[in-house]
Amino acid sequence: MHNKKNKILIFCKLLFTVLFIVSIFSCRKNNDDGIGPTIAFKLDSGFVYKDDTILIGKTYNVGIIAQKGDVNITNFIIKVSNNSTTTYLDTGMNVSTLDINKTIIKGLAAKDTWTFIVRDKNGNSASVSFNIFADSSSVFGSIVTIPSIILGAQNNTSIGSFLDIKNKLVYNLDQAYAIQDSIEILYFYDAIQTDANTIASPNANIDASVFPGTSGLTNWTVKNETRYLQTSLSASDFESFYNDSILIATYNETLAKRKAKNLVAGDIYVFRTAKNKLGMFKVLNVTGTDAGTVEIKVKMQPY
Amino acid sequence: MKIKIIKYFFLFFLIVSVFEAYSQVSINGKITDASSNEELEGATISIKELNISAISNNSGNYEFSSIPAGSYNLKVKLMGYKDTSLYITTSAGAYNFNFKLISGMYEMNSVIVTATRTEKKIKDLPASVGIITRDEIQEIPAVTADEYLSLISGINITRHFGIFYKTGDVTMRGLNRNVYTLLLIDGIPASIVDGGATNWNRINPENIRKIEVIKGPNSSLYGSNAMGGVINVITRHPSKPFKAEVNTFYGTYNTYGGSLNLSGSKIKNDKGFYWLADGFIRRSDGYVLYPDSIAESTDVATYLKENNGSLRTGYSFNKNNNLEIEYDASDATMGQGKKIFEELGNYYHDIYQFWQARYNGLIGKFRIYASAFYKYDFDDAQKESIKQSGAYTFLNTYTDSGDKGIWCNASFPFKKNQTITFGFDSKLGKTKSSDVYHTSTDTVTYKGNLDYYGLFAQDDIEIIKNRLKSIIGLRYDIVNFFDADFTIDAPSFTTSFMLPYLQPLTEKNWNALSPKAGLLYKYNDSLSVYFNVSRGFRSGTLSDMCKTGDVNKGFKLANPYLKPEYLSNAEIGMVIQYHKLEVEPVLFYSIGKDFQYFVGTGDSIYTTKTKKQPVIKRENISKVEIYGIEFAANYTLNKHLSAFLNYSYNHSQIKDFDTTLFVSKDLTNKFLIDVPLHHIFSGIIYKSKFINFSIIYKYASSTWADDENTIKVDDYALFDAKVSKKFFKSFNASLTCENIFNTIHLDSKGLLPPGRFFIASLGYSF
Repeated sequence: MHNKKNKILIFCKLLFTVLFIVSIFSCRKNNDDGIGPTIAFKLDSGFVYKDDTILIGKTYNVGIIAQKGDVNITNFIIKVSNNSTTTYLDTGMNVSTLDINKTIIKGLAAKDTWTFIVRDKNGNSASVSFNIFADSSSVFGSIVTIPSIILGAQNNTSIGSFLDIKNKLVYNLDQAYAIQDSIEILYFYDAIQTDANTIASPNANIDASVFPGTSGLTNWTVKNETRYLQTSLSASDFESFYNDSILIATYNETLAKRKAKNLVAGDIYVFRTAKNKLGMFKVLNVTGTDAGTVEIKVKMQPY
Repeated sequence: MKIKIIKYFFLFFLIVSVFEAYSQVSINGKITDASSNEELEGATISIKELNISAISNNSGNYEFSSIPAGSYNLKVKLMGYKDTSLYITTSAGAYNFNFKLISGMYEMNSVIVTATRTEKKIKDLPASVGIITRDEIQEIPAVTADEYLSLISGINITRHFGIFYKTGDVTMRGLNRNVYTLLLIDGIPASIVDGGATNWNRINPENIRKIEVIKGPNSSLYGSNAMGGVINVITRHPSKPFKAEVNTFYGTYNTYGGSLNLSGSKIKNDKGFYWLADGFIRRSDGYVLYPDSIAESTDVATYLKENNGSLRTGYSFNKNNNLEIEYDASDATMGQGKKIFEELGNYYHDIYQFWQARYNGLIGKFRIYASAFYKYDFDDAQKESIKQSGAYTFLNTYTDSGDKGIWCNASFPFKKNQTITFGFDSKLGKTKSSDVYHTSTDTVTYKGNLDYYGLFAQDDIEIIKNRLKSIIGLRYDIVNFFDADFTIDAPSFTTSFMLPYLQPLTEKNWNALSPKAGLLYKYNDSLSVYFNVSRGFRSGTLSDMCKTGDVNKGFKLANPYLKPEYLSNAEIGMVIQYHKLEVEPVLFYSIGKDFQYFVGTGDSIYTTKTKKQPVIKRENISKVEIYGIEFAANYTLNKHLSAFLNYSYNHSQIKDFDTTLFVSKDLTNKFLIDVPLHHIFSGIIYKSKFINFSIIYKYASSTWADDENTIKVDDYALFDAKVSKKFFKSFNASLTCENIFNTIHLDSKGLLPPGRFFIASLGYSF
């Protein structure tokens, strides 16, 4: 009887030990989300940080300051709601603080609701927002036309690849390196990612071998970014517009990309330069080699 | 007168009795291991002439008392050791005969359970089987448990990153994926849900009693995944009232750790409790996977942090019945060699728990084995990357998987020379995996259930006594796929391109019939020939059936309609023992049907703003033909020196690749990836009281890294060595060196192996 009791006791002790170790090893994902990030608008002059009324086609600046909570900020999102909600920007990062400025062009919608969101690794988020109303006295601006610009591909030794569109001047690599801030558009032939005839800008993702050397893009300190969006406009639509209304209506920041790729004659792209000027170009002709050329006609907002 | 006769009768009786008493013999002695001098329990000492036997106790002692004087053949047998015998002549008195047993690399009288799910001697099996003993595990230079499997010919171990790889690739018989090999631990499937890679790092080699291997399809007993073969790792069993073993080690890349094994047995007269507790930890700083010439600033050393523990207790009701409960747990984190912002970089973190209750017993004439188990696995894989466009992505993949089931079988002697085994297995598994993006709002989740049910029966007949044996078996399996789903919450540009490809994942079930038949002819104790045919199958993985997403080859769609793969095999083998040489050649031929490959759908899609990928899907599209030779030879020169050689040739090719319904390159006549044509594992082992030494040679011929056979991975040869010494009876020191000549062979992605790797260890037992 005593022996049987002893055995039961030993068995219970061992079972308890098993359960104790189970409790130590039983581990699940930590569901405690902790302290999340914070976000606020910059209140400096020149920045919009509350509801406002702005002329159509005009640019305005927004400044954001965000701080991490327990863990770094990993996602920054800008959404705009007018007729529908679209994502203006959605980018990944891993930072403790965020200090970012955005320049936005007022579109045609009567009211845009802008929401700025930061998220962290734990899924915590914070947001701020404001409304921008279209000024009822808005009028569309004038445009300038550049009938022909010829740009050479990277190995063209007689025609440069880099365009100072404000002054309508074309430069080769070494010349462009000396005036980086003036260069907003460039042209190259992309055989590496097979994008062929490509109009882009210094801040686009261009392989270092395209423009190598001391003056190569990887060594630039100022890299302007122009964004492009292909349109379905007809040639006659392109020829006939006379103010910037179609530019404002057609350009979409969320859909625009840093490259206009695989260009062929007849392609029409709307673009926004680094200096926030909207424009449109039509490809007149293109020679598809790394020493070839592209000829475009441009209609854009004046500087 | 009458009284006088009675008196004389009693006097005569007394004289005879005294005379008989003085003619009685007692024999005793001790059984020990010839190299370690360890006392051996459980050895059978038999005297055939008297039809009696004794078993050595936990001190290695045996005894025969009150046996008549005479001449006898004293035979000693113990599993894992070579039989030995001694012819003795006795007259009245006490005799002492001690035996030192030599461990056998390949012991035909060894008993194996895995081959038939009953105890059977290797020499009675019409199949290619092998046992890796505890002695071999201690003698061979290896760091992880799977590396010992190379001692069996036909098993290919790929551990390109050494211990810094969360799974070892263990493949057999010319097949090239982990899912084709069923790994058991103490008879229960080790991997969760749908088979596949197991974290071999979790198995402490110090806790292994033996490893049993049976090659070729064995779905007739084990169901899904037993296509290339079955490996059963059997852990140690307490035999002494108390035993403790402590081991610490230190090695290359600041690798260090230790293990503690405690056990106790209160079994008396076959009745009582026993218990075992085992713990094992390992840490390492790791190394950088990329060669200096291409390493970037974000390439950092892999690292390792492992904790493993095991508890077991049981009660033995009598010699034939016992009940056990077991709990295992493991917590391991492995760096993946990349770090961008996060402190821990890219890592893989795995938490595993296992509960089991098992009964092993004899009820009437039925030998019964039953086990109920539950496994739980939680994985957290963290990954940071920067795309070519400069975009930063950071996500964690959380995967919850679990299995529960009952495996049971019973065997009974149907007739004098016939044993019937039958059983039922169930394994109910489910998994749920979520990719949680931190750099966008997306959460991509897939989940599904796979339930397996199997009924099997086996007939083991000795057709001609000691000459001709046959085993036939059949198993019927039902696999049920259900409750599957694939969802994307809060999709952004990161995953929104997948939305048009989401589809309902309907419930499906399959069944499979897996037969096996084998015939063994024993010419004599030194020569036997066997032949067998068998069939195996493997159901699709939950990932292939439920998950849509990026893979190396393109953008993969889930395919809930995947059918199982099948493999039919025929093999003929021989076992030859000639003096000190044992040789086993095997020829095999297999045809695989409905093998799965990625095929194009004709679509392509931008998975990022700049990356266009083909849309692909896994389909049952091909036949595979595999044939080969396995050759194993073991030579024991004396109790100190032995040598072995394993060689395998595997010709594994795709046949009948059906491109009529799919957009795909025709892979007909292409070789299976990762299967070397030639594989060698050989070595020499020296054991003595003073020092033990072993040196191993490994060779694998070149392999193809892609299905189209355009990228080749070079062949390589490696040398490993181990030296160990026991001193002061309880201490054991060893030094293991893997890849002595620091041979650098890059894998298909140009990543480095760990190179020359040292581990020095010191152990103490009492």
